[in-house]
Amino acid sequence: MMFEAVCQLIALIVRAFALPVVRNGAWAWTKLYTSVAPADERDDRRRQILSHLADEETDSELAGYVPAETAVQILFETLRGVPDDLAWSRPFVVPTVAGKLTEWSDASGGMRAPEWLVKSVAMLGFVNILYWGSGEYGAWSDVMFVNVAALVVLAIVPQLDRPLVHRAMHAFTIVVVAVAIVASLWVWFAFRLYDEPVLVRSLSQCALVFVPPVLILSAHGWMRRIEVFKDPTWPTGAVGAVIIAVSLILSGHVGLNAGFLLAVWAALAAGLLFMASVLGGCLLAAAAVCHAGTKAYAAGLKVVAAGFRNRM
Amino acid sequence: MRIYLRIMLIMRRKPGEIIPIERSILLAASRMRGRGIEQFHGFRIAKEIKDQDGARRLTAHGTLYRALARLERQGYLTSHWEDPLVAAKENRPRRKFYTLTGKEAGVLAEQVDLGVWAESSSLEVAT
Repeated sequence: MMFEAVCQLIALIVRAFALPVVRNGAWAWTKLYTSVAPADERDDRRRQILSHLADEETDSELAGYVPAETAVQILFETLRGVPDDLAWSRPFVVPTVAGKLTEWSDASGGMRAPEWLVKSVAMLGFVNILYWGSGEYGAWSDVMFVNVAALVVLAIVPQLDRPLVHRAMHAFTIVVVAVAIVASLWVWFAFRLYDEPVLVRSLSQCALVFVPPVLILSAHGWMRRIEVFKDPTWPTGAVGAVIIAVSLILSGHVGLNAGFLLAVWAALAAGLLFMASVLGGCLLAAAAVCHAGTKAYAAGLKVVAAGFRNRM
Repeated sequence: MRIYLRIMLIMRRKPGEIIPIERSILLAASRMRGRGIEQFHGFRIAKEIKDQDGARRLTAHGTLYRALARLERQGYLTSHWEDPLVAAKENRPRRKFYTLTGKEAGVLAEQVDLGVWAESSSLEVAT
């Protein structure tokens, strides 16, 4: 008796709310996928769908269908049309995202978003390597704190003196690359007597930190030019990604964290280009700002640190 | 498999060729015009296609409006928005009406010649 009552209640609720829920869902989806289009095309498509939904509801009512049946009909129509909806919006997506990113970048002191992220990555890598090099192997929680602090500084400082910080960041990147080269040579020299691929290992880890900035700077260059296939930096970037991947595999240090970073950067170089740079940037920013992301990043380098410590 | 994927990637439609959904739209519109209905809106044509093809469900919104836009670009249809007063009077959103341009006759006839449609379509093409 109780069970029947509950079933009837559920049926009543479904009958009462199915149509409004599905109608609003279809409308929300329409608003979502059309949001990337220019105003005239967006409004045109939205008005058509709105009219279609209204006509369909009226027609179903006149034909004697119950609202739940109409809801199912609308639901199926919407779902089956999703691939076409996405295909319709695809030509608008890239220019829109590019525009948004440029706006955001201009608002944040003229430094483009990828460039800003490059500096963040470079800074995180630099800080990690300093800690790793100083022998503080056990104090990874401190590293996390420093990472977050570095990000905060990077977020605030560009607002204080933009041109100066811009130049300083360029100089910083050059110094960091130089440090990476010297460090790699030093590691190779220190371990030259061991029968281990130390140079490959150290280069692969350095590459993990320092090559991504180069790749993103390539994206930066591409964004300025727009015509991606005319930019010779991308093939170079793709070759770089392959070299990193091979060196990581050879050195046996492809863990989850390294794999994650590698996948993002390889995707960048492999031709997903702009979308991947946006996605990679978002993933990286989230990973760096969040505690869990920082932990993952630090853990990736900890593996290397442990590898070297065992040989010292 | 790799070859097929490559073919799918580089596959392009021949100029002047229409795909099944576009054929259905043109045929349904042509049929409606034969009944004296010169202009139609999205839902109306979706219903007509459903009846014509004996389908269980209406064509999906996304598929339908994308195909209509393509046909308009190709010059088979022209469109205009309904007078807002009419829509307001009937208390519903405005409709976008489409009209056949006449260019479709050649394509439909060609399709019949090729045997794409059987007897059901030949009448509408003739009109």
